[in-house]
Amino acid sequence: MKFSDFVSVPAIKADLSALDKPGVIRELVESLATAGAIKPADVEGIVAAIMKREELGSTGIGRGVAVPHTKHPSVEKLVGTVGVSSEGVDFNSLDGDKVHLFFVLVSPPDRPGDHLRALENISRQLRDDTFCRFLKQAKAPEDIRLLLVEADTSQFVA
Amino acid sequence: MLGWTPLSRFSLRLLFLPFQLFFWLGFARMSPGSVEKSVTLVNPQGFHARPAHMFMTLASKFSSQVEILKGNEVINGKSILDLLTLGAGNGTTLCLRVSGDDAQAAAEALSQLIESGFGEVSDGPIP
Repeated sequence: MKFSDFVSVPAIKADLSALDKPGVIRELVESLATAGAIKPADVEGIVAAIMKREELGSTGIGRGVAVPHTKHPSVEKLVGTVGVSSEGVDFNSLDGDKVHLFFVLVSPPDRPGDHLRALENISRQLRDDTFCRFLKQAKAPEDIRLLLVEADTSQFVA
Repeated sequence: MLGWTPLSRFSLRLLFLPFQLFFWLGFARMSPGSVEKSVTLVNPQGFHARPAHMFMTLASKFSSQVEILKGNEVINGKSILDLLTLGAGNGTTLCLRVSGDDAQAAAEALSQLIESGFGEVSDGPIP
C-alpha cells in the first residue's frame, strides 16, 4: 500500500500548533474533517477512540514518530494524514523522545489487512533516515506531499 | 641436550594448555545456542502496533539476538519499526531465529506470546 492510497493530501499539516498529545490528535482529526476525509460529526467520536487506543500503549514508536490510529465504523476505506511538529510533542513514546512526525490512521473495523499494509508502508519508509529527516524538516504541506510521492515511487527504499 | 622424551612432550602440552583453553572458551562464546521455531499468527488483527510493542518488550528482556524471517526478509525482533514492516496478517507463518545464551527460553516465551494471540479475542474485530 502506498501513501497515496490513504493519505488525504488536503489534510496534511506541516506546522502543527498543538503542543500536547490530546491537542495534536484533535488538530489532525479536525484537519481530516476539514479536508472531507471524515464527517465533521464524527470528529469527537474519532478523537475519543484514538485517545482510548493510546491508553493501551503509546503509538509513539520511537525515532520521533507516532502512528495514532483507530478503527471507526464511519469510514468506508482507510483514511489518514501526516502532521509535522517542529517543536515536538511529548507523546509518552517508547523511547521517551518527543514526537515530530504523526501518521494518523482511521480504518473501517472489518479491514485489519489494510491497516497492516499502511503500518507496513509507513514503517518501511521511516527506516530510511533521509526520508525521516526530510519529513521533519518540511516547512509546507507541499514539501510533505512531494516527499510522500517520492517515497511512493521508491526513491528512498531500494 | 634434552631428547624428545614423553616427559618433555607432556610439559610442552602443559605450556600450551592455557592457550588451548582460551581458544575453546572463545569458540564457545562465538557459537552460542541458536534456535529456530515456526509460529503462526492466530489473532484476527495480525501483527499490528500493539502486538509489535508486546513482542519487542518481551524480546528485549532476553540477551539473545532475536530475528524474524518472513519469505526472504530477516528483521530485528527487538525493533518495533522492523516488526511493523512485516505487515503480517492473521494466518501468516513466521520463523523465529533466536541466538544467544538464553535462546531456548526466549524462543519458547516469544512463540507462546504469538500463539496466545497476544491476548486478543479470537472472534470478531476489536472496537
